[in-house]
Amino acid sequence: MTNNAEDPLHEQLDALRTDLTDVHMPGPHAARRRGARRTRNQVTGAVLAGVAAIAIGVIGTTQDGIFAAPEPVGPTQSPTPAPTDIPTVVPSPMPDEQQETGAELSEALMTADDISGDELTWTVSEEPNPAVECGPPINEAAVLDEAGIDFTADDGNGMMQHLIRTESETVAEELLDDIQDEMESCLPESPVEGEPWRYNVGGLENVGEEGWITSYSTDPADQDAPAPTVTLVRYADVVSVMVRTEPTRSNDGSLDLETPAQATARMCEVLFETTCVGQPEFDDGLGGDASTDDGDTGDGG
Amino acid sequence: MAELMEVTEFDAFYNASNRRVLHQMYAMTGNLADAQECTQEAFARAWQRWKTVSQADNPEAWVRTVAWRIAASRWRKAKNAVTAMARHGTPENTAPPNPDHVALVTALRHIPEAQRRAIVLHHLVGMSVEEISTETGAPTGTIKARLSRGRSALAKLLTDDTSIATGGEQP
Repeated sequence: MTNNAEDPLHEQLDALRTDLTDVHMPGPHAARRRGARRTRNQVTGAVLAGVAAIAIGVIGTTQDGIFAAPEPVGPTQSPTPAPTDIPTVVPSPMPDEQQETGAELSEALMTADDISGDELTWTVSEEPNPAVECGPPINEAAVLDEAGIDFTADDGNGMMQHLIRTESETVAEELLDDIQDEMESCLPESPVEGEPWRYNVGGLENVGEEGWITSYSTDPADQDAPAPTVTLVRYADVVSVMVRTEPTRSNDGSLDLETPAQATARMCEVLFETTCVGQPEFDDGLGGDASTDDGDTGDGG
Repeated sequence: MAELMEVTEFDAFYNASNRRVLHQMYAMTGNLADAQECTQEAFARAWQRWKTVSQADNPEAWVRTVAWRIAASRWRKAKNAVTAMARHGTPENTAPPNPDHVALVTALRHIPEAQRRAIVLHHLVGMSVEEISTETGAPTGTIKARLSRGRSALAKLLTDDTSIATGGEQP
């Protein structure tokens, strides 16, 4: 700690304390109750999802023919917008203009053609990619409908997209917030020893109605530890969760914004018959001075 | 028995540190209600993970970091509301009573998030550049640059009330 005794700015900031005199903090019991409620909600969501899965399994088994297993989703099932189809201006439809087309979520999933930026050959994987540490947690209680797809490429590269439809736009907003909050809590910037370390975090602008992206290392001490990039995008009542995993931290700080942009363009086109993607931009919250910040890639705060 | 010990330990930690974190979050957010909410939410999350957080070198830094993240996340979401706020004025509950404090928190809100965070950690919490680097994960050179730019921007804003009053860069 530094000595702030003769620091005028310290004195000014310290004086703000007087504004807090009448501010009431509820006490430790309220914080514990709130923490317990958060835990309960997360557990309830997981249990409900488990019960639903078992119930569907039982009914599906006993009433064969009522529930047919869905066909695996392939990369050629939905139209592929060409990169040049992306306009430079994002139309801003009013909420009441967000007409859903009635298409299934599975039809709006990304395809291998949407994955850009390298020479890897991506194929649809029948098996889900392994979960990554601090990966996006989904509160299943918020899920009305969902669909997912996994891709793999050589050398341990993986890509996953999960589309989630919720009851309403508000629920979708809350779901996106919850996922983001949980991930941010899971990834503090290293005051806790041994926690993972992030090297990109910020808003994904001009993609959907709101977007967020983060890259992190699952082990900062090990350059060979898997390095996921998680992208969350919301449009209307649908949330898209994308996780790209690289086998090592080869990321030099640059971000692949095109893949989430392509995937989101497809989602909006198929589900809403609209264009919801402009020129994707990463907003690390640093304003215009990020590039001159001694090589800082942005920590979002 | 172990649970009771955890409760006692957490309560002692909360009682010892919650006003400090609230004060720091107020300086970082410039809004009493936001500071309260982010602080309380961060302590709730600390309780959820108390076994881990209590073993950290500095649990208060953990809470402060999480509270900051929650605040930063809200700003990004509220970005579109900023324009409206500039048009319609700041909500009443964000205005602290002391005019000097109004000028200071308003100036803080006009500088970029990262600079504001560095300023508060250095000049209010009293952390060194190296300590801020560790807490934020940014290189020391970056922290120095943020402090330097933040101080210059604040000095300019505090001597130029007009630019603050008419709005400008917001979090």
